[in-house]
Amino acid sequence: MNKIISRPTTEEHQARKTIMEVAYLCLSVFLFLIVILSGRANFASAASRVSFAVQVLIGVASLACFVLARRGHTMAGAYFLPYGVLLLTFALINSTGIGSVNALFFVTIVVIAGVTAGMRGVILFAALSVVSVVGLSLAQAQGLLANKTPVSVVTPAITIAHVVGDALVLVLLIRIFNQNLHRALASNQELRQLQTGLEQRIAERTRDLQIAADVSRQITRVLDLDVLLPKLVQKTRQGFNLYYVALYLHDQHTGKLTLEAGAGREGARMKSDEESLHISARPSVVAQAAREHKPEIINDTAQSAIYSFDPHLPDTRAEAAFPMLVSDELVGVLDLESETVGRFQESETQIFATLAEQIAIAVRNAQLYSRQEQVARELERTDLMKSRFLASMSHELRTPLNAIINFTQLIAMGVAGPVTDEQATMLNTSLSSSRHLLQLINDVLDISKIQAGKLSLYIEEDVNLNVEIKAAVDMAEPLLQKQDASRERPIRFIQDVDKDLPLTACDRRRLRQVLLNLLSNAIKFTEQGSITLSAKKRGDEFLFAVMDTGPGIPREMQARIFEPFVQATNDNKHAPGTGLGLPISRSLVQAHGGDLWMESALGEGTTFFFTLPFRQ
Amino acid sequence: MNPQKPILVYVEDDENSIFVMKMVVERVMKLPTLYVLQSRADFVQQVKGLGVVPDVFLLDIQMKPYDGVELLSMLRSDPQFDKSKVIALTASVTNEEVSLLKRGGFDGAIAKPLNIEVFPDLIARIMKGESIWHIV
Repeated sequence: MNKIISRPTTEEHQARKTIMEVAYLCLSVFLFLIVILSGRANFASAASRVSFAVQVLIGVASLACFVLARRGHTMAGAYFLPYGVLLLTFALINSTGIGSVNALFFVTIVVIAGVTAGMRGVILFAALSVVSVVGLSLAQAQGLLANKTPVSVVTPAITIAHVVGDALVLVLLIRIFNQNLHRALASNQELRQLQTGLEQRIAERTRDLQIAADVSRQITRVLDLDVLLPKLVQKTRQGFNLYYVALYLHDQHTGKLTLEAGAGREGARMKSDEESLHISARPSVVAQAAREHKPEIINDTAQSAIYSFDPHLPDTRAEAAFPMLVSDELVGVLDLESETVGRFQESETQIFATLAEQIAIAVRNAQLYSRQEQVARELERTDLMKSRFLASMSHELRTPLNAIINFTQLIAMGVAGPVTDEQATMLNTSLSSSRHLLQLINDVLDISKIQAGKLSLYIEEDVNLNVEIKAAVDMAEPLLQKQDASRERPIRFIQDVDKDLPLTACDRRRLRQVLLNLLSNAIKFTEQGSITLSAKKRGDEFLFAVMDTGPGIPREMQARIFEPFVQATNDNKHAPGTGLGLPISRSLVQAHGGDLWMESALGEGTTFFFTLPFRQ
Repeated sequence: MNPQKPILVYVEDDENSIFVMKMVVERVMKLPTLYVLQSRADFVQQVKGLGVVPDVFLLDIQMKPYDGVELLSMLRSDPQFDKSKVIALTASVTNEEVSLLKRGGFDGAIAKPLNIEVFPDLIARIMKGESIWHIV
């Protein structure tokens, strides 16, 4: 029977086994149905009871075949078929004889044979069926069968035609089925091979990418090249199982490629030897890649004219050098060496190229970072120098100035002997100039602190604003009197200050400084009319205003007067100022959380406003 | 203690400042003498060597080797000078320094350069027990 079933491949075998199992099950059910039907019809005589027993045996045998088939004994089914045919023929002899119902049975046998045993099975069983039908017809014609009806030629002829026709159709179907099955199995095989190949490649790529990602992580974390690069070459060598990995950095000015990091002991030795080569060096895979800005891959060093033997690395058989570029500017070269000929295949070179690119960016970042750090250190030094300069300004500049002021004052007071009026005037001018210089120094210190963001307030609780306003007015009044002395009509000084302004938290000295600055500005620039100081509480803040009837400030100057060293007028007939008072005042008010602004109309006067938040 | 004739001690390392203060105290305020001491480790001994308990100590802040704040703590370690007023003389009127002086336990501060016109009045007010922070 082995010949009947074409030698199957594993897949074919598997597919056929499943089909056979189903077929045996159908056959068993079918046989049982026949047994039961025929048994019911002919149960009266002893002969028919024997016949029934035989049919039960057939049923049990077919079931056993099914069970065996399920357990993997596929041949059992094939053995069963002729056995079943013979026994069924015997059963038919005992029962009805040849007829159209039996034709159906033979057709069924042929179909099942086709499904289970293939094309040759169909032909064999079709032949068997024809022989059986012919035999049965002859037996019936001779009256050997129980059925006494004479047989005509037509019935067996129809049955045979039926069987042969069906067998032909089946053979065709099976051929098509087999072809398709073969094709399907073949493409399945192909698919599976492809899939296995793909899986393998995916696994390789995943591994490569993991190493690359690992290296990249290092790159983004470490900004110190001395730490980063040795780690990088080590990781790359281990991860890609290479013989040697090295990084060369390119110096644009000298054109030198200097070994920055090399993996392993060889690398350390070459690093301590400060190995370097010039970009024009030949033969050199590294220099070639650097010159061309392209990866240079030598898969068999013995066949290469570019490769130059390195006694430190005697086992190199393949070398690949990848230029490290940042926007086409050469940062360095990543050099990989392997003991295996043909190590650097296209699949991996892309990853190495990407790696080289990333290292290039990392190196560039680290270089920029260290440069930035240097700049920051320099700035810090400059800042420290500035602070020292300011401290020395405040002490070394003011100490002699203090002496000048105090000695001038003492002499003017007559402490060192009588002073004439003329001398007194000159001494007082000297004194006021010295004081102006001192104010300038103080203002410069203030503005430096403000610009450096180092201005800090000394906030005191429960400051009585009425007291502070009075103190500022007391300080401003001598200035006003002095100005008035040279005028025909004195300037009216009007105070519109609410009594009992609530106590608030603020920097008293700075508040006085602001008030005094605004008042002295008003006094300096007002030729006639009045100066009004007002202070009121408005909601949760205080509103201060210093209004004068001076010349007013041109619109184009209004924004600029808050810039350092800018004054509304250039003529110096007014008491000279530092040009720093307003910017300082505004900063002081803003530091309190308030604001300072102005309104002015040419020829009518100027009003400076500022607010101070009320804080209990 | 005579409020009209307070005993003043001045600690300063700048000759010009010492000269000005002597002039102000002896010629303008017409006090008998201004005691001038140096910033040294034996500061308390120097004071005791004067033979009098000073009413007001005027300590310069920016001095070497010991600054005014350090001298103050030396003084405060001796109960003999509990009643003496200690005033800081300072040129740098930064907020940090003012709060430092207040926290340091000074009874007041007077800005440098000395305003000779108001200085006698400031001393008189200090003698009356007022807390003077004349640092504008």
